[in-house]
Amino acid sequence: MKTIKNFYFFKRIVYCAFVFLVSMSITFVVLHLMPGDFIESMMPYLAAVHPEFSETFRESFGLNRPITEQYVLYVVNILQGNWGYSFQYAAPVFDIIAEKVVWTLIILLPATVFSALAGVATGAYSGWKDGSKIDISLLNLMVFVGAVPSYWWAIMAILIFSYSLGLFPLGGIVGLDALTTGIDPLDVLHHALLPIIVLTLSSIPGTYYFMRNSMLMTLGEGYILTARAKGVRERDILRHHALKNAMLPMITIVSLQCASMITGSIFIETIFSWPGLGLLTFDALSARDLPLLEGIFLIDTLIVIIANFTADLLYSVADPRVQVGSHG
Amino acid sequence: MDRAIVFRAGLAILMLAFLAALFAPFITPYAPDEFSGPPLARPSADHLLGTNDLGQDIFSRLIYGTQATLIIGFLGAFIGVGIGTAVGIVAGYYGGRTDEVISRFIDVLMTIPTFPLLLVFSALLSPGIYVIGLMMGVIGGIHSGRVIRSQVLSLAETNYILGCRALGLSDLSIMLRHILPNALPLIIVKFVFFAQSFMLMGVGLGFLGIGDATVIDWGQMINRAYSSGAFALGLWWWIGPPGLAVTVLSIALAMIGFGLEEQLNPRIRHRNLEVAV
Amino acid sequence: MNTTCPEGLTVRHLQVSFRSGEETVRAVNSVDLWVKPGEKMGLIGETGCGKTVLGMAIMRLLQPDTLIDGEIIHNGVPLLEISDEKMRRMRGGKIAMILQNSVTSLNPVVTVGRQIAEAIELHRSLTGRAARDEAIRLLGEVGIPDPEKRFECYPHEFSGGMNERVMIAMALAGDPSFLIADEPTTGLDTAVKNRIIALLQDISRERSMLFITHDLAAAAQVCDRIAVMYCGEIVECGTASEVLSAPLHPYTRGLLGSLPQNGLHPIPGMSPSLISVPPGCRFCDRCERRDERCTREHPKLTEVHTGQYVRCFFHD
Repeated sequence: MKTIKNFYFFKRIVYCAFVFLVSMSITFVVLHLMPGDFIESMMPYLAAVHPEFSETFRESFGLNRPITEQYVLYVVNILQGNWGYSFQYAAPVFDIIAEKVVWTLIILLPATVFSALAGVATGAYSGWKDGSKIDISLLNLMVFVGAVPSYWWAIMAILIFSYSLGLFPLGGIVGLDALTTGIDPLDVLHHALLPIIVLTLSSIPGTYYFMRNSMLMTLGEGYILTARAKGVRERDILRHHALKNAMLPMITIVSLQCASMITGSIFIETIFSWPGLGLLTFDALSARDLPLLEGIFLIDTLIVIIANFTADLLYSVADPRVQVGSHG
Repeated sequence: MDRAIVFRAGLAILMLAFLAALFAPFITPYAPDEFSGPPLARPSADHLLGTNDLGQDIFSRLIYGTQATLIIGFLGAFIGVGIGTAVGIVAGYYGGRTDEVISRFIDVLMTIPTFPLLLVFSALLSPGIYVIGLMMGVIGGIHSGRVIRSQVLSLAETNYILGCRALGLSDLSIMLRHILPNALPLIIVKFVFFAQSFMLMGVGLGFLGIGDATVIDWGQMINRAYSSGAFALGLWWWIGPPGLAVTVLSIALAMIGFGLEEQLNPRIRHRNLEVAV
Repeated sequence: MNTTCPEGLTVRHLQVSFRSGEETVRAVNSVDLWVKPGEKMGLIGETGCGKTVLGMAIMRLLQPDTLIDGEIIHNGVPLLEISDEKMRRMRGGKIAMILQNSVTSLNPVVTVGRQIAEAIELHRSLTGRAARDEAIRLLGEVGIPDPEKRFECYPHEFSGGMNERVMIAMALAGDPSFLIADEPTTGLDTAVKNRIIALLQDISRERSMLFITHDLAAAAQVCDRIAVMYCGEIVECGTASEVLSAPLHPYTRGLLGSLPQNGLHPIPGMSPSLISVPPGCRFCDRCERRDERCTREHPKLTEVHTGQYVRCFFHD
């Protein structure tokens, strides 16, 4: 049994590597679609100020060799952490991104957890009480909340809670006092609260909708009737039979929601001036800094791949039916 | 909330938006680029939504902005549904190898985060609203291809379709005349939801600074406000209206979409009748 | 039928209707049935005749918005009148049902042993270790080899026949005096089918059973009496040998005639829709022997000999 499961994971890892390879291929192609000389457009300032960088760059990316060799060298470079140089910052893309990832994770991870909890709880309740007033009200509420774009929640939050009510700061990760007194974790938390809330809110409707559907489908299954026929109490049916099965597909859904939150975070971080990958994306776009944008695309892909893989792992542990070759 | 009322309300809002876009020159008090008033003026009788940093009337710009938003949304939706239908029907109908190849392809593309990819292409191409609509349509098409394929798969197995083949009808005519009409409810619902998300994305892209600067775009209006520090100054009449407008349109389309879904895909089955064996 | 049975199960004038949109479907139409203690009653009929609905009605497992009328009395307890909580405690305890389709009727993410133990804990005041031991014993009793190891298995690791045995074990867990078995042999191959039939004979020795099936041969082996159901009604009832060797109702004769060993003669026509039921005898469209009275008047279930009933104007 052990070796069979190991083989299953080997297949998944190969698949993940393949997806990353496809992403790298896309960025490679885009890089070469840029007009003008590669180096000149890639780092005009660098080329002018540090000509020796130019030369080593040409060498390591093999710009004087045929295109297939360039591709191989490109992939090797990416895997080694050499993701090119940013126009704006005149620094390696990888380093810039590495610095900012942490800040994004600070709001992304709590938001994933909270929206998963809230979405699953409300969705399960809604499905369990299908057709009731509460279910219908929740459904309508979620349709409404889900139709509102994340940037609108962010705009409203900042205008109402930060500007009008003054309850929360207008942006950034710390107040100006930090310059003198140092970074206070509570202050960071205070600044992070609104972004996390907005990010969570934008993700709950999706999770709710899928959980509700999952619950409805589960409740139509034969074993729920069997449990009733055995005389199991309603709340035990919910816990041991309905939820245990309905929650399984949610593992995949939550990882998908995590992926879509990356997109949401671009807007939310920008509006709240939260210096994570999202704000970095905004700045890179404003400057048309293609290498940096490509680096962000690659890290986003990596995050999604990791989220998917984690979901697969959890699935194989949670669902006893998952066997070799099956997709969970 | 009565579903029918909600559905009609959504339709009404959408109609209003179309009318505003069509008749913009006639209903706006000022030309959108005209420096018609003092900069950063609060809303007044003269300027219903105040003015921006250049003294342009925000209300007029809002009305004109409807055009770009609707074009991106619906153009993208058409393309998305077109591609998705073509891919979905071919994959679902032929099954086997073709389906496997297409499905694997879709699977990989769906794993890749498409919005950041969209941004990469936008930085490269500096697109106008039509190209933006096109790009979103292509990406959306791939996503929807999957769902349409599932439906077509179950349709293709039915005796009805097998009968058509037995009669000697060509594959193309079966796909167009027999499968397509059956998949139509799903396609229409997808179209509405595509329009909704592409409008939101279009405004989002504008906010990120992507798009034709000569075209008035709600997203770019917010972007200008942001870059001028309007958030810190609480200039709600500049920041608010474009975001609110797209939110209202989004809600309207959601109401239309869910209303249609309820009508076209009756999922409410009486559980007892399934038991009666 | 006028027999009142203080012991055993009595069903009197049972009507079960569902509302689907604007239409009402009368799935069970004024059924009278009684099963004496220790008796095995077969309920035969084709798909859609209402036999499963009847079984579910006895267990009160139908949706709350179902329209149920009539009486169901088990050992003096009026099942349709007692509270939900009281009924819940009877289910799986005094009365148990072996549901159809064992493959989909078992929770895929809980071990087989746990599912049996759940029923034991509910009805036998045993918990933890004791419940587990009893579950293992039950697994052995229903013929599952190596029950101690199999306790930890999941349903997908079992074959159809083994899952059916698990369903039987779950039903026995509460030591019921009345069992309802709904299509326990459907979908199993012949060898497995025969073993399940043997198992059913075994476990029903001291219990009464309602054996719902469309498999006449299985019913013949297990049941003392057989009731034939058509279109929501009982059309014939008698001892197993009476019904199967000397059937009185044309439908029963048709059913027997359609068996492979009797020449595979299908009954012409289709059973009428339960939404728009024809007046008069429900079988008359397909009956070889009908006259004008059959299309007009609805025959009642009448006792022809002691214990033998038929719903036909031509009974002899």
